[in-house]
Amino acid sequence: MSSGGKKSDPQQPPPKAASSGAGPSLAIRIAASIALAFHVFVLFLYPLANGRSSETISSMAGWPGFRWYAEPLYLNHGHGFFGPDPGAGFLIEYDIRDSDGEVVKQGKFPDPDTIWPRLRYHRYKMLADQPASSGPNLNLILEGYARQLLRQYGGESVTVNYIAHDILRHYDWLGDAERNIEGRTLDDKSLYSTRAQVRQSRADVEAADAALKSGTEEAPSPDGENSAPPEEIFGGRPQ
Amino acid sequence: MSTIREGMSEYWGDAWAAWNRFWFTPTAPATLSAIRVFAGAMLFYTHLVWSRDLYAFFGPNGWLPLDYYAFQRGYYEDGMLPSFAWSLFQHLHSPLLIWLIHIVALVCFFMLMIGLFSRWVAVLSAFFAIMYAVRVTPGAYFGLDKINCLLAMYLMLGPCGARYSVDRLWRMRKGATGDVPKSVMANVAIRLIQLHMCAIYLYAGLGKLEGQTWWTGEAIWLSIASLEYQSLDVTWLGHFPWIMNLLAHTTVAFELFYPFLIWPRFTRPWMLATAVGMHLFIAMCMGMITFGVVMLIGNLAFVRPTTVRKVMDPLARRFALFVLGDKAG
Repeated sequence: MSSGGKKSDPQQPPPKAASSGAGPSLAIRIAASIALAFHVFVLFLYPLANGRSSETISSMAGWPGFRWYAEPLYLNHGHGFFGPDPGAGFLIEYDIRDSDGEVVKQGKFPDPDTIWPRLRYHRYKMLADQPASSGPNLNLILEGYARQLLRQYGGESVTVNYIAHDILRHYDWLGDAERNIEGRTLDDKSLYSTRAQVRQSRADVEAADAALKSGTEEAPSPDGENSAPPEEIFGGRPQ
Repeated sequence: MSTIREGMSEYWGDAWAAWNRFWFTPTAPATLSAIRVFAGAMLFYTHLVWSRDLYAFFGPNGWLPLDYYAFQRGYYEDGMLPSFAWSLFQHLHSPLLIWLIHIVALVCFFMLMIGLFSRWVAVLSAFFAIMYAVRVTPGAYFGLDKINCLLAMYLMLGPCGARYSVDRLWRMRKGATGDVPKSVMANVAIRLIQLHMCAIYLYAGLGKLEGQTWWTGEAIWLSIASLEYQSLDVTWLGHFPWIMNLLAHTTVAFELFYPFLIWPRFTRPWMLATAVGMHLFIAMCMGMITFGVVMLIGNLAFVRPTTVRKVMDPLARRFALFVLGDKAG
């Protein structure tokens, strides 16, 4: 709204330009208001419905009336960027061998030296990070990765190690000059530990591919009914 | 009694008027159009990068096998409705078909960026962006996908091609000389982006309150010392703990107060400046350039159309003169 002789800006709406009488009809406003209120409620509901939320919120988030809306629109997730605490990084290390036991390919991901641009690197980082929060499904996911590595590089068998890289605490990095303790580096070997190990063979790849072709896939079994049990290494072991 | 009734009536009348002003005031579509240009570019780039590993990520038996995808979505569970999320990729096995869909999606995102048939390609872009994100969730998704999807979804609600678009050039070539009209739907789209950004920051802040290291200030160290994230070594900050503590506390305070302080015009520039600083830090030091940039695109929703026009119009005018010559007016 212009005042004091200033020229008003045609693109800038005056603060109280719209009264309930301008623009869409009342019926449209009421219908749109209900839809908007529902949408905004969903925006705030799903991040609230995490593992620690109340029974009320959990059951609301699980109600099909909200799910049919939130899930197809990709609104059913939280926003915990680096929360509650920044955590360890994870690496997938692999060793692919041919039928004579010779090395076909050894490597790891994510690897900034071989995977670029940075966004692509980040996708592989997510592949390595997200199994960490998958609980009993960990070996199921790792077996899938192992089979994909065999498809990608050939070979007869592959061993995949799931490695956690704990972050060096600040005081360990600084060290303690008075007590003659030297600071450690971010890639100190003691920070790496193997959380799980899986092996897959060419036969496993063929079985998975055949099941897909024939459309007879079975429900994956996280408790190991259909797959080799995970080689869980409790507490991890130093690399 | 009648005083109470009058007071209540006045309160609800004012509330309804405020609600109307918030949602249904027509606004210039300059901000929405600028968001379309940048979000379209981001969608195009994000999905172009998938091309290198397309079949490995979106094929039926790649990094994220379909049987695990179905398992995650509850298709095998009794007594529970499976996920309502849907992706075309869950039905495609042929590499040729997957590539065909991918190329169509890339063309769509490119058309959104340049603003050709903007409204239509905005709808398709939202469809494709969600379809890609759903297929790689869980497994390879992260914050970038969430913001890409929300921007694409809200762009389709308003006249996102009204400015800075091929559509606009086309209209000018056909003789349209009048200014772009204000639009209620442009306002609705912008309001939804604004509220969504508020929800994102609020929950990001609340999530951090559950941790210890955001209270102790060590979270910044843990972020910059993560070799898997690090793209620029700023561990020298470790010699200045007070800076790291200040950054940690500022981050949490910013995220928690963003939903409240981004609205008043006196605090808005400060919040936007902090957002720029924070996201550039994340982009440069932690290698999440795309995520940092897409968050800034979301923040653009809080920039007034007049400000956007001051920056974008001279560029758009030069481009129009170059393409249309005298017809650009």
